[in-house]
Amino acid sequence: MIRALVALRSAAIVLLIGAIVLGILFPFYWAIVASFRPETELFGTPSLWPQEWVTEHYQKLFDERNFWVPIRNSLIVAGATTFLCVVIGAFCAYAVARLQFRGKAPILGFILAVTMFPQITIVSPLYLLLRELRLINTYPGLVFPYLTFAMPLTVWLLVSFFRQLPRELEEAGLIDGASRLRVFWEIVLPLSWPGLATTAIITFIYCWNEFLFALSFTLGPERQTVPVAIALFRGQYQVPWGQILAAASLATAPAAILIVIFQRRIVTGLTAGAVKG
Amino acid sequence: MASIRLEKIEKVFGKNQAAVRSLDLEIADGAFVVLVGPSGCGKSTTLRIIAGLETPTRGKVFLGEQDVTAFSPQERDLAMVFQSYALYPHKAVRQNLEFGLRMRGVAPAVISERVERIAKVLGLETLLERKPGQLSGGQRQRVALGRAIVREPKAFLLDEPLSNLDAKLRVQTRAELSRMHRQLSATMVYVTHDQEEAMTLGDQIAVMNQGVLEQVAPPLEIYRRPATAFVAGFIGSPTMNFFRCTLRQDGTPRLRSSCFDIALNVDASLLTGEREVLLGIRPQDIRLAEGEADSQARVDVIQPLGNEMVQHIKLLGQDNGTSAMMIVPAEMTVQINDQLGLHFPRERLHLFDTGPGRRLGAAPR
Repeated sequence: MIRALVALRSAAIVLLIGAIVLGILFPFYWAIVASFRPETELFGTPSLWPQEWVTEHYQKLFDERNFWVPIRNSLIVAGATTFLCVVIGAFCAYAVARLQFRGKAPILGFILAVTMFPQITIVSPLYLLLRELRLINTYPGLVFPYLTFAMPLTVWLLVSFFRQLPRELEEAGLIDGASRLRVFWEIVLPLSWPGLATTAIITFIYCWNEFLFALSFTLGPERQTVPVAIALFRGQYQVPWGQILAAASLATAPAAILIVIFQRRIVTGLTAGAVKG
Repeated sequence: MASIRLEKIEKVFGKNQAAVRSLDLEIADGAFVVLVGPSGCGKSTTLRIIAGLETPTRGKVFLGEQDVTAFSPQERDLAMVFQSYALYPHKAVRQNLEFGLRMRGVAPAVISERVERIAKVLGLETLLERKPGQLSGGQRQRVALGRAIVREPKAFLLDEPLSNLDAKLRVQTRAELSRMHRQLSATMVYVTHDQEEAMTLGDQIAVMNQGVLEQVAPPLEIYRRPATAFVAGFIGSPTMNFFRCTLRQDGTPRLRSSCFDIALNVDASLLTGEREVLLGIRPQDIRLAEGEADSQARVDVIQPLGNEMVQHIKLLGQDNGTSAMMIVPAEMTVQINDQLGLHFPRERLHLFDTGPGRRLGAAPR
């Protein structure tokens, strides 16, 4: 009797998890599959499996719309932001994690507070600022605003990574005659590359997906990033669903690939310092 | 090599959490000093202050004649062996050994020559290309020692370096450390909570308790003439027996409690009237009475150890008597609940005041 109940319970849990996973994955499946359907089938009776597979949406994406441009823009903006975040953020995070200085707690609180601002509230002031600096519709015009939200994220993630490292290793380095900077370079950085990589990936994906700033601070297709480009596909008279879905599938690909490869590291990265190893 | 001198060192963490209080300690050039005490007594903090990893709140640190209080660890040229060894996990053994020399700008040829020599001495030649993760505990320990030795520092600081080894390896490494100290004639400061380790290793033992240095002396003097009740109880195994009693002078000075009444042969001039004292006697020093007994005891628990026997006894008196321990030869035939007459050799008694626990008078050696 009890055994039957236990079996029933685990079956129910499996079912529930299955349903949740299905619910999450189905839209992806639908988008990817739909991006290979001919336009006519898209508006016909929906079927789980397309009767006919075509690549016309993808071809059009690159032939008619030159989708390479937004991809290049996204790579440059997200890449530059990630690079700056990790390089500057690593120093900042190490200082917060290890050095003793006045006002450490307020600084950390301030960094956290910055992330809590709703983006929309700073769009207009940022726009005015960027216009004054003549940075509208430029790469730096996106990278700098991105730093405002990506940097706190990077610093927080890296602080927990650095705190996880045994302090004694750094002390051994200091006693061995290395300066703080040398210890950071020769001991801390090589040991925290999983943390750096995770942080970089998370930051990159964050920037890759960003929409609001990218929409507000770009003017034309030559600087638009992938999410903005996709959003602006819709014409005056028609919405090219096939191409939108094809572009969305492509845009998801780098993030999905990175996460699948590094998922274990990312999970340990996000929970770093939460419990003692 | 250099001597180390601590002058009125205080370390306060946070608002008023004193880890070390007004500590004066002089470590002669080439001495092996063991800082020993229970956990939280401030011994590790003291070591870290010497290393430069902590800044003292007050007081000065001298290396030789130089005041190094404001020096960073890298400027002090000391070597430290950590409890966790703290080997650089991403560097091979060779790079671990080289690191300190490289940081100090030693010529590459000299570095490799010194590393090879140390590796040979410590039997690490075949392990030079391995990462610390591929080594056993004992091997890691030797690499950690090697990393310290290869630098030829002014002094060695060792923070419980043996506590991660198993019992057998620990005894072996202890002997090796002693030998190393003799060969290098190096100044060594060694921190441990293990009183046996302290006794076997140190030329001098510094016993700390709650941030206070209780006594600094050679091992045997610490054992025979502990300066405070804390030192008496901390050093020696099993731990010393303590009895509260009254010291009274009527004719000859006498120690009285409900369990015993002992006439002392100490210098009576130290005594005035009557006072409460703490009587200490080591379990090894309690004898079976041949004539008149100082106290009667009942055997409670018997623990044979092979060559000797530990007896938990109750001195008979008021209430339920007073618990104590004694060590007797293994051949003694005794059973639980047997009653024994005990003799406390006068020259083995230690008297302490009941307040701060300071040793009283010229109590016998």
